[in-house]
Amino acid sequence: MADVIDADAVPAPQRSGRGADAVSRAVEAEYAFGFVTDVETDVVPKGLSEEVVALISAKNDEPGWLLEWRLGAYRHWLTMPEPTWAYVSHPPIDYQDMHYWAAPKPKGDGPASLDEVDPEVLATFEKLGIPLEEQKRLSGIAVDAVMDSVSVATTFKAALADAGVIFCSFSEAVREHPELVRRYLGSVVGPRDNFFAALNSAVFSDGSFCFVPAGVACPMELSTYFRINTAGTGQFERTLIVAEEGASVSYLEGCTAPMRDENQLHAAVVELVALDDASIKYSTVQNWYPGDADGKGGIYNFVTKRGRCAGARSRISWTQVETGSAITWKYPSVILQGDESVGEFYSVAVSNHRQQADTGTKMIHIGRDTSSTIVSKGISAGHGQNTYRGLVKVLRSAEGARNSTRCDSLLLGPDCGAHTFPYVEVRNDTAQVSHEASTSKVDADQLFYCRQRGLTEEDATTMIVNGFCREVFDELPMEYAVEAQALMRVTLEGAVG
Amino acid sequence: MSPAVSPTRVVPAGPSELVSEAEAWLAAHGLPGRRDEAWRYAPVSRFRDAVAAAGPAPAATPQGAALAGVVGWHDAPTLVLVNGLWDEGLSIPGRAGTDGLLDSGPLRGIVGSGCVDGFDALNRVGHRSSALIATAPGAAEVLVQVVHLSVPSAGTTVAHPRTVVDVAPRSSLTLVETFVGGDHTMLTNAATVIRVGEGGHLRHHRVQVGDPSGLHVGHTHARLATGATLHLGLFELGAAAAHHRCDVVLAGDHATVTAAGLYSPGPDQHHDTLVRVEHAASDGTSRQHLRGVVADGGRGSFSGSVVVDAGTTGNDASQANHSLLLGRHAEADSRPWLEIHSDDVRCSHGSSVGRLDDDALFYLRSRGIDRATARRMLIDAFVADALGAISPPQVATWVSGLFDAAHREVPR
Amino acid sequence: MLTIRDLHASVDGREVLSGLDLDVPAGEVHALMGPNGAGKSTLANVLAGRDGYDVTGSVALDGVELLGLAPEERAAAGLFLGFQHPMEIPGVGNMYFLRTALNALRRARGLDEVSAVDFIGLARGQMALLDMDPSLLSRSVNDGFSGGEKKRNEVLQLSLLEPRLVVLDEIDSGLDVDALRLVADSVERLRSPDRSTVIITHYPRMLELVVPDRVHVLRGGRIERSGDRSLADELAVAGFDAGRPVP
Repeated sequence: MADVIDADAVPAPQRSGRGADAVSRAVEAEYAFGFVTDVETDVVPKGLSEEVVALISAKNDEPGWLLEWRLGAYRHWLTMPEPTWAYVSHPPIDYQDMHYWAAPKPKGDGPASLDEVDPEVLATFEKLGIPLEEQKRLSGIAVDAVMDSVSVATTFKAALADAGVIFCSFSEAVREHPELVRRYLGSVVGPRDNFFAALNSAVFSDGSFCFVPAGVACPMELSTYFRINTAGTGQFERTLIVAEEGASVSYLEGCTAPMRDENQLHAAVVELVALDDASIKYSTVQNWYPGDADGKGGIYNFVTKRGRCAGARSRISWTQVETGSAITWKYPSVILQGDESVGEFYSVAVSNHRQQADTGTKMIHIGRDTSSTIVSKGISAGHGQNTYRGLVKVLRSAEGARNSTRCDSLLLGPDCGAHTFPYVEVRNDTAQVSHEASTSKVDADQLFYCRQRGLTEEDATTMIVNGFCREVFDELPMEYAVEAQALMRVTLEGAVG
Repeated sequence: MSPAVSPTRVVPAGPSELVSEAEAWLAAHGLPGRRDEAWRYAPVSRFRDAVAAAGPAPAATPQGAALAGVVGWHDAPTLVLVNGLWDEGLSIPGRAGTDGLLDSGPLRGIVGSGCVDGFDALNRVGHRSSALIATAPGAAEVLVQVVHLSVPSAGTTVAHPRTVVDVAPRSSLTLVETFVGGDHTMLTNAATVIRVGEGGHLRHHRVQVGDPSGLHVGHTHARLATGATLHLGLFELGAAAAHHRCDVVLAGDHATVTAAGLYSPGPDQHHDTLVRVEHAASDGTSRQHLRGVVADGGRGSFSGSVVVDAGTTGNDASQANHSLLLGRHAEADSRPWLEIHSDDVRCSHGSSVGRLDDDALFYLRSRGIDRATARRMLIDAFVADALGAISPPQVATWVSGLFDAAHREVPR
Repeated sequence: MLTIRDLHASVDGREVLSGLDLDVPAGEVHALMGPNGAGKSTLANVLAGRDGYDVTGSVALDGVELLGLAPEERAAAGLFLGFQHPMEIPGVGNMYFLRTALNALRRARGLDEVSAVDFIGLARGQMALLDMDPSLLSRSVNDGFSGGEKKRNEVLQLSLLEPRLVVLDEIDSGLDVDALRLVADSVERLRSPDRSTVIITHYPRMLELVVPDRVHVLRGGRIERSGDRSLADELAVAGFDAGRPVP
């Protein structure tokens, strides 16, 4: 219903359609992106081996050094145990029982232009609210659209190139800008970083690459939309964003998948590098299929996201709204290396039905006068389990470091769980670190007050929950804030009363 | 006249099945390592090395002088155990005795069956006697002290002091449990097991003021019945490396626990305090208020955990942990954790790490107070909460004195 | 308009209202006074349907039985409660809240919803009358408002939502003289032949500014005395114990 959208805080969307779509989708009150596109798909047979790694590399026409890099990661991955410390449980994952590469078959030799993209694929993205054709494009946002393992289209490339900004699919970057890829790939999340990052390093398919040269403020929002389509596939995309000295960019990520009874694995890696005075804002509205009310199906979202504030006065800001996935395992982090650099993490995570989320951040203070802010809002409903896990580490070199952390959890119903596991490790006496947290249910007095003014219990609850998340929503680009509020309502459907 | 406290006494090692259970547990799990979350901030290898190298500590006969100046006698009946064995000569009997052997029934009820970790199991296996403090139902408030003295001898040694506290329904007890002595050749591996019956009230001050070079591992287990109250004062004021873990279960409705205290590692000392409170029943209240004053070169760690079980209602829990770093190379760790499985709760936690407030320091000095005194005043203000909660007053004065002595500032 | 019969309410087994009867005809303003603990706030909460009370008896508004209805259904029926302690709701925009409430009530009454643009005009007009800072509209509901700002925000809601029955619970507490006058003026302004008002107050000073048609003294869980406005003057001089029979 239209009233969910806070028209007072968020001016009417400038782009037609998107906000209204979010609202009408919300009314459907079910996962609205669960359809499957019937498109001819090219898949690599199930299973993982050095041959499969080599095949993926060959599909992308990669240079030899990158194949060696992948194989190194793969061999190390074989020696690693799957992590068990997260507050989640799932049956063992059979890594030999999934496809590591799948792509809509190109009509010709590969889509050199949109005319050659399968109309079914274009229709899919349009249905998801991401029209790719020239005349329908979202104004002010360049989109890289990824289906399964490949990028199907990137909009506004030429306009961005005029500004000196490189924004393309990862595979294209490997072909066109190998020196940049080689310099920065793995420089933040190494190929042996953790179990899922190593797996990704071995088999990553496509993803987005963005390079903003020194002194350039990226003229539009950049966005990647990830779509899993093919059954039995994992998605392993890799995103790399580099902002040179004084550059700035805002990047949005969206994701959906069909409704299926099986669990599908999504193990992405995102690396951000900010040089002196650069700024990167990375926003995610994660809406992977969460499984049904009984916990059947849904995406396992095991993702490594990390940014390096390499330069002085650089800034990296993560904002995430995690409403989807059966299981979320994700800790977007910042390494605060440059003096006076700034790291931020704003998060809303919702777990309804049988969803499990173990998410948080790491702020590693290395440089002088570095500062970080963490705001985490967790909402549990149904039988959902929601965990904040975060590390604030101040190294001895981090003179004058500052951190402020606020973690709040809201419980809706007697059968859910909310857990808060912060780690604070301080090795410098000039640091000032503070952590505050609370856990409670929706305040009965607030609820009564709203209902006395005529709101139903469900509307009042949604309103209070959205208010609870406001601080985080305010960090999102405007059109995502609208979508996030609508998503909250859908996700919490049936959790009240 | 019926004694307010039924005998404080020392009993031989616990029932054999408790020991054999612990042996089996130890065989299956071994000692913890760095990868165990509970030992993440502890110098666990030093403790493990001591165990590996050690023979049992002999039943030494020390001079009473070893206790003078450290132990406050508080005009209370006092049991002194040396290396885990009762020392009659040093003890102050006052209604204390050594009669009777404890039958295994009630003891088992207190101890439960599981071991928290390998050191906990090792205490059960290795202890040679237990100090038992038991009150009679309805007994009025009384103050009792247990002193554990560790005395090194040739080679590396481990002592396993053990205390069992059984507070009967509607009775009231204040217990001061003090750990003294030891050195770098000696690990004191202590365990204290507490049961507070319905409506019972226990105030337990646990004061670890071992030799600054010593090694200390401690476990405290407490279980509270309906309407019971436990106030834990946790003070880490000695040892080069100390790890104390406290597990409290609110097993009955309307039970209350407060764990308040102070850790104060000096240079090259490391104090690691863990408090875990489980709300297993409804309408319970728990408070954790731990403060750390960390000298230059020292490290203070706190891990607090609140668990609210599914199906409970009306629980109220809060945690607060604040650390003060007093030098370039002072380090602090803090893990204030909440694990909540019920929506009918109110939980909050807060934690902060920082050094003395420069502005406050300047303000005091601008009023003519010298730097050292000003620092002292601010530190005293910082620990006032923790020390102010101690009762009775003579114990508060004694602990404050220990803090002042243990915490000698290195001038900057 | 409002008819209360044999109203009993208890909390945790303790009876607070013990067979209260009260009639407030359309168009009238009644004052309900009484000492601390007499059950005044309990009555307000019970009328609005707050959880936590065991209630029996009858409360009819325009012939519609309120007991048993959800709080929002009572609001839709025309009941407005001005809270003694208005709730702070961080993160929820005040304007958004007001418009959502207004549209919920308008829907319930079969009226068209008010657009955001129209609403802003409407709200700003009312706020000017209440001498309210327009920026209060863009802040969170009552969050960080001063005591006076909260009470004005209650009156703002009252004027926007146009209820049939207004119950003001200690609306005068914590207000300075100027703010009290503004609130009183609003209550006078909102007097109309099809609206009834119950002013619950501990102090008589509100009643120097708003002249009540009837004054009731609530004591021991029921109406102990009723009279015209002179009763308020009498209470102001002699206190609640005056005129009580000596037990």
